[in-house]
Amino acid sequence: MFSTDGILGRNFAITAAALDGLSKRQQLHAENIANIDTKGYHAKTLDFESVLGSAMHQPNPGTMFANPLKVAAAGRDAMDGANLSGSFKTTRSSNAGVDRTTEVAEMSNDNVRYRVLTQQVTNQLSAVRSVIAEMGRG
Amino acid sequence: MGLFDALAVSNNAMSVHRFRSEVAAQNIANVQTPGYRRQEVDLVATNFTQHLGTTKSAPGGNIATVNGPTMDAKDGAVGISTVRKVSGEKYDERQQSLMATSDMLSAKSAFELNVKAATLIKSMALAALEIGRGS
Repeated sequence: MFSTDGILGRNFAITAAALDGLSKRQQLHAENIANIDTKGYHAKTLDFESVLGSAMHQPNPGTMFANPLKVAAAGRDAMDGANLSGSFKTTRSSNAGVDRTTEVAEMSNDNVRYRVLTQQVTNQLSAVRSVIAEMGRG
Repeated sequence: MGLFDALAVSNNAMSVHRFRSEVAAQNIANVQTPGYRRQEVDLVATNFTQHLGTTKSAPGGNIATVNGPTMDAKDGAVGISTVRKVSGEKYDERQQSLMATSDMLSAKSAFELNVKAATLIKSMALAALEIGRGS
């Protein structure tokens, strides 16, 4: 028996939050690059991994078959997982100036991670879809 | 929408840096014009709403409009604060054209970097569109 919050599970919410975090960070990279020649500009960064990391290690709020009320609450928590992105904080570098090599490298890095995660979402959806198909057959 | 905002930041930056290259071109063109004073563009980190459709016309020739999309990125976008005529400089033609060329090159490199950024963001948006397809 697998334990999950709602049909898509907690991992799904975490993946969604990670996608959100990555796209927010890409925006910051875009802003840093836009201001590459702006005097007095401080590069901005976003560390969402630590927020997600602590969210992932919280104990599971409930199992699917425990108690309908508990399940509903767990579902809400999973939705909160998707709202985790609200607690992502932008930090501003203390040094003025933008390092173009770092920005482009990190941007490419996040681009690849984003693509992998979208693939991951597709795989999770297809797993859920096959479960539903099997239930229909039974 | 995060990705659209990010794309808007890069697009806006492209038009700002293109504007810089136009000013540099004007400086190069007028190197031998008597009484012409070199122009410099000052950049500022800004939000878009301030720079929506501002026309920056520089003396000695009208320079195109810099269009900013409508959105609010907190001082994340790049904008043009002023186009200044530099006065009190005693440079000869060669030095003037060197400075203008260097401005041109730095505008070009910033433009290309923003193109790169926009391409990366666009490919992320395309990847997001593929979610759920073929599963």
